[in-house]
Amino acid sequence: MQTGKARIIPVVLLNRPRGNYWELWMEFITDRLLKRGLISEEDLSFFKITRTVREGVAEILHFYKIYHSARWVGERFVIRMNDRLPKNAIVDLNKQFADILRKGEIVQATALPQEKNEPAIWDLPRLILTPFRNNFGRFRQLIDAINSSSTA
Amino acid sequence: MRACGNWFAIGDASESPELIEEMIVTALKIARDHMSVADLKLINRSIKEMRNAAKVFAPFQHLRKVAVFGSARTPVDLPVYDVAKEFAREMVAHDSWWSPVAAMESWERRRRAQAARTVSVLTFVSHPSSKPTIHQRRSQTDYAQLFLHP
Repeated sequence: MQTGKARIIPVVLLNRPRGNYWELWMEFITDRLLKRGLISEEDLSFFKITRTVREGVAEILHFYKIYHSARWVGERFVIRMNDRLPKNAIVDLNKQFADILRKGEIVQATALPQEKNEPAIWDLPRLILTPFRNNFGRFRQLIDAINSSSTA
Repeated sequence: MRACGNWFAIGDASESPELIEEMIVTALKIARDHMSVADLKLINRSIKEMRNAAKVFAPFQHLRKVAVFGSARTPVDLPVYDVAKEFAREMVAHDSWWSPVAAMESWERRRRAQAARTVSVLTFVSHPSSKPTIHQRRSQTDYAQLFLHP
């Protein structure tokens, strides 16, 4: 996910009650990778450590609340959504994620012709952007922002 | 080089025969590359296994899936084992399209599968945009069994 080769999915690191297995793992990640600049702060967005099953389940369901799926069509990244976003939400996303846009803006649209081989999701609304193909942790943060948005 | 197009008049690959062609061409190029038998075996086995995995999952493209990873050596009486079970149960409970009976049934299968010392659990969460047919529902239950009793 970090390199953009695998599609982004929610990853939950689930502790047992009163367990600290993943906190110890996180200490290693922070101390040996993050502090030395071998990974970026945004990469930590790819996973979530949870203490309860309820929290873990909520994390997965929230990930697919508005976000449905995404694919590349040439240089464009097409995000399929279960609901349309209001105009002000699109404005906010463009402000928050201007750094990942190689050109143009994030626009709300309908399916591209190249997506016709996925007829089941043809009718879903889209967000289309032309991003740099790096810093994929920011892609995850964009998905989170979409899911936290209100819907139109 | 569009020769493969005719082979896939029916089926998903009809949308992208060029990818099948590329794979065949790659295989032919490998024949000229003077690589070791070990490398040939590795590539051959990889493509076979990846094909099989993709084929098994293909009927369930319209379903969301959750994989639970843990050590197969986890003793069944540890709290973490219960966490894995509870998580799987909760995910199935959130499936609004899979009938509670089917979910219960598949959960029963999973419970029985504990005997096989398998911690990996696969649950299915419905895809928001396409309702599975009855036939597909039966298939997914069969698949759950297949996965848990390898």
